[in-house]
Amino acid sequence: MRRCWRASAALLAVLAPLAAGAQTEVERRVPARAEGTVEIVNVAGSLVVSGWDREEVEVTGTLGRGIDALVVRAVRGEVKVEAEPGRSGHQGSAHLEVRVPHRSRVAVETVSAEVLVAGLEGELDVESISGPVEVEGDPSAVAVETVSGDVTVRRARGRVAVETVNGRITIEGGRDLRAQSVSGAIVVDGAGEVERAEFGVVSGRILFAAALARGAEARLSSHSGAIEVAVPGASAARFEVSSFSGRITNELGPPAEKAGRFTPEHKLVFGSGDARVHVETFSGSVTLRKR
Amino acid sequence: MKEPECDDVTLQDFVDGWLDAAQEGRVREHLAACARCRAEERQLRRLLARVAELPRTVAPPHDLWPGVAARLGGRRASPPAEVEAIERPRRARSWNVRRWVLQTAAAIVFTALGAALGRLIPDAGETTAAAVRPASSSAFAAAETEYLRAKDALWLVAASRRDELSPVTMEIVRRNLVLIDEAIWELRQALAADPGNPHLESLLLAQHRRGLDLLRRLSARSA
Amino acid sequence: MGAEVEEPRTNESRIAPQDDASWVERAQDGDVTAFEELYRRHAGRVYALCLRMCGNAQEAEERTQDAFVRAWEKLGSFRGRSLFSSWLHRLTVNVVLGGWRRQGRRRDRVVPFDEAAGEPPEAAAPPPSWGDAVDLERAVAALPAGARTVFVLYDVEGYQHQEIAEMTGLAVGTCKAQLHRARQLLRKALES
Repeated sequence: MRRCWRASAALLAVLAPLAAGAQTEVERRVPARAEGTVEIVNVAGSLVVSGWDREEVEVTGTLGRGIDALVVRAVRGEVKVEAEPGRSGHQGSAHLEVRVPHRSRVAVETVSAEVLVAGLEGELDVESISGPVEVEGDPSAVAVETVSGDVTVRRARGRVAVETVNGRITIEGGRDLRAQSVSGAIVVDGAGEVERAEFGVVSGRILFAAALARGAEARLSSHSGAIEVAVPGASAARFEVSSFSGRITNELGPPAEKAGRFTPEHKLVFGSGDARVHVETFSGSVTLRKR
Repeated sequence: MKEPECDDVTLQDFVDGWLDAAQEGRVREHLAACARCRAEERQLRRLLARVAELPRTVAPPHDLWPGVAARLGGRRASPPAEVEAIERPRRARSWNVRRWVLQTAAAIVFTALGAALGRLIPDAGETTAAAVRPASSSAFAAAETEYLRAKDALWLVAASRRDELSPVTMEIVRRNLVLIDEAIWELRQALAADPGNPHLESLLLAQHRRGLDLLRRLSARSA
Repeated sequence: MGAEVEEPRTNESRIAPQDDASWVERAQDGDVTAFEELYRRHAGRVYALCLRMCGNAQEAEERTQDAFVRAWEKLGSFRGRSLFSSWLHRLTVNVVLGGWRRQGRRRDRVVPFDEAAGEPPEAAAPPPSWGDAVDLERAVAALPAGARTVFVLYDVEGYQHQEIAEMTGLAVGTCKAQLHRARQLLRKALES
């Protein structure tokens, strides 16, 4: 059985035409390089990607009505896994579990599938529209883009970059954090020592409650969304806060002052320590408090 | 030897002339008794004398006027391009459905967006000298132009299968683009009241960039 | 940026203010040639200010151009209640300070006013003078950005503490401390 798979899967697509209307169980396996790339496309349903020790990619799961085929193909070290919706429409969904070599670089594309990624150590890239995305394990870098899907990154070793339109962004790990949303909230809580943070929202709110490494730099900006920063104390960082018309509340030190005679703008510069936190809003309120 | 009463900041204020008579008296008393502070005062005055001799003008190494002239004159954004419906051939394998969804979403969104953006762009008819808009500095006039150009480009990407949209997603995208538009509008109004405010300018640029990034994300997926 | 300030103290003769006024009027009507004349008259002043604030020639050139472009755009709001040169001067300060804020963002780095994190300024191109002045210019250029800003604005350009505080967003006490620091550093640099 294994021999058969290896021979046929090495170069060409393996297709299993499906009877319309049926739910089909699938199981596929192809060889993969330890640090190769795995691309997974699953438009709807769910997807669990996990890392393992084998130099193989294994796909198991069920394909729903409307999915024509599951394509699993290995080309020069790159593995592609695609659940192809049929011509009848894009309603087809698939629930897939994909196991990949844990140091693979993984790229996922979906529209509405729920995505869970665990046990990876390589780079991870996820593009979704409305499907929620959850990342665990220890990926070296994480990049996630959604429109309305919520994103949760629980652990990451290095850089985390998340962008949504109104999806909520929750980050609990990582050292170099970037998050952008228009109306979604950005919540950072419990991350280890953050070396760098750059967050931007329009009307979403930002909660940044994290420990800052020495020399850390954080920049938080919003148009009308409220920003809340919770740090151990005023000695955690040097703060520079400004808001054009939003209220600044500082529970760590002196109150904000008017920036000039002819403007409603308020500014606040205080604190000590090697880290720097820069907060800027147009009309969003800013609160600095003790963590 | 610096003693606790050797307050350098007060001494500086004294040299700068910020102290009142009583304070000055105290400083003079201290100076009479403290050699260290006398030396400080002397050195400070010597430094300030040297500074006073610095030339107030320095000719730039080369003529900077051409660079300035090129940036004068204020650009006006062009009105939104006509929407062209482009029929794309359907692919045999339609697993790129998602991309079509977004193409279509982008096209529809910009019908609404164009109307919203129309408010942001000053009328071409405002050409009196007083209306040489103080609102834009060159840096974000460039950003605004880029944003509008990108939007124009996206107008041309029209999908044929509008019925394949996810209406929910399309509505979310539309609503949020309008949110960005409204933020831009608010910022421009604030800037009109306080022209050249660098904070406002940078906030406005950030919003333009955000809008542009969102459009780029949408258009890249449509490729 | 609404107030128009007193003429900062200067130690050399300038072009008679009446000449500026007629050029300014014509420039306000959109006459670019008139604005070029204003440029010719004031570029040296603006450049000197930028050069000392920025500590390096390339940035100074960019800021000089930015300042004149901004002045063109804002010309409509100049009411003639102060001298054009004072107005232009203050505008230049704001352009330099504003440019730092923007650069800080673009380069993904927070650059607060009183520390330029890890950014050693190159020595400014010394003006065509000699000996002492060259050393002093170099020493000024080598100051940390925040101290240099306050020093240049106060000691070289003659702004008051309150004005500097308003322009930079620092508290008056911080300005004084920065000034003190700048002066100390300069003295040390010049004595060695």
